[in-house]
Amino acid sequence: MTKYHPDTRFISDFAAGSLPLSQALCVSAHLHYCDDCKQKVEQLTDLGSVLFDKISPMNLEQDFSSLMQRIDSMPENNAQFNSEVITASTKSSPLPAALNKLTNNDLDSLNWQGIGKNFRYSELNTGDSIRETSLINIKAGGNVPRHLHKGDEITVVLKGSFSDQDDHYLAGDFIVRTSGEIHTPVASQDEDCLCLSTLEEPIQMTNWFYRLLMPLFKQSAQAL
Amino acid sequence: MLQLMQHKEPDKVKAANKWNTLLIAISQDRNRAAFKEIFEHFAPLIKAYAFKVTELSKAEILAEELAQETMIKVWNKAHTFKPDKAAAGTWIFTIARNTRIDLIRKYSKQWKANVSEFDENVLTADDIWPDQNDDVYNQLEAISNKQRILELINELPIEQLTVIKTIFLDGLSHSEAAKKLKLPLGTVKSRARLALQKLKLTIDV
Repeated sequence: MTKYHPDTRFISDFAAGSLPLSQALCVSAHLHYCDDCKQKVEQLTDLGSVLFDKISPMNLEQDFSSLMQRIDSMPENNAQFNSEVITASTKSSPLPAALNKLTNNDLDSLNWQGIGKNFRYSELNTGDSIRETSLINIKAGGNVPRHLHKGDEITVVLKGSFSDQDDHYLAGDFIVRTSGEIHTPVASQDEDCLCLSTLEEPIQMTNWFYRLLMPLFKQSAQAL
Repeated sequence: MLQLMQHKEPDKVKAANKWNTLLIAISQDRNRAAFKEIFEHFAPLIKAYAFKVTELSKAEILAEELAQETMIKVWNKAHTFKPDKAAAGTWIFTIARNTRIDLIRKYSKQWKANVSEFDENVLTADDIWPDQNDDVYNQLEAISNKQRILELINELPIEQLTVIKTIFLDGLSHSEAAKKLKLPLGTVKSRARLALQKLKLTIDV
C-alpha cells in the first residue's frame, strides 16, 4: 500500500495543469500506483471544469464553417478517427506510461552513470529546463551516498523499496525532501530499488553527480 | 436543432447529459449539427481560457489556435470519450487544458532550445495528464460532484474564490499564484484548502 501521497497543493496544481512538467511526471507516476489520488484528481478536474464553464466567453474570429473546412482538408482525419487513442497508463504495464515513452521501453539501453558499486542514475529529458529529472537505481542492500539537499526534491519509488532514518518506502510512495535535509537511503536487501527523482536546480551549474559528491568532500574535509 | 435529449429527466441531469448526447452523436454518426452545438458553447470559453495565461505575449494567437486545436481534437477523439466514466464537459475541459499546456510549451523558446534533438520521445501533456481515467470514477459520481460544486461555489468568500480561479484557470501553480496575487505562499495554500473543504472536495487526512 502506498503510504506517502502528494499533498493537496500538488494534486490541485496537477489537476489544474499548472505543475511544472517534471513534477507533474512524478505525480502521474504516483497515480499509476494510487487510485485514491486518481480519484482526487478527477474531482478537482471537475472543479476546474465548473470554473471553466463560468468564464466570460469571447467571440471567435473564425466561425464553425471555416473550422469544418479545415477538418475536411485534413488527410489524416479519418485515419485518426479509426485508430484507438490510449494514453492513460494501465495497471498491466509495470511502469507509468509517460516513463515508458521517455525510456523507449528499454531501461538497459539508457545512459547510466554510476557512483560507486551500488548506485547509478540516468538523466531523463523532460523538457523542463529548471529541474533535473533522473531514474535512480540502487542495488539490493546498497545505499545512496550521504547527501545534503540544496533544492526541493521529489522521489517516487517505482520498483523495490528503500529506507532512510525516517521510514521504509514502497512502490508508489511520493516523497518530498526540502532544501537542507540530509539523508542516507538504503535499498532493501531482496531487490534493486528503482526511483524517479526530480530536483529543483536553482542557479548553480553543478549537476547531480557533483551535487552528490560535494557533501562527501565537505564531510571528509571536516573529518566527519 | 437536434432532438436527441430525453425530456423526462430532472433538469440537472438533463443539462449534464446534453453534452454527453451530443458527443455520442459525433462519435457514432459524425453528426455535424451536434458538433456545431458543442462548438458554439465551448469554443468561446476555450478562447477566453487561453487569454487567462496573462504572462504570454502571444495570447492573441494562442487563443484562436487553442480554440481551433481543441475543437479539432474533440471531433477526432469523440469516439474515445467513455460516457459512463466522465461528464462530457469535464472531458472537453481536459482536452483544452492539455492542448493549452502543449501550446504554451510550443511558444516557449526555452522549451524549443532544450529538446529539439529528442523529438521522438518528447513528452506531450496527454502522456502525463490522461484525458480519460479508467476505473476510479463514474459518470454519476462526476455529475453529483459537479452539481454540489455548482451549488456551493457561490458561497465561497471572494478571496478564496480568487485563489482557486487563479490556480485552475490562469495556469499558475500555488507558488506562482502567490506571486501574482502578492500574497505569502502559506496564505494561498490555506485559502485554497478552505475553499476545497467548503466545496466538500477530498483534502489531506
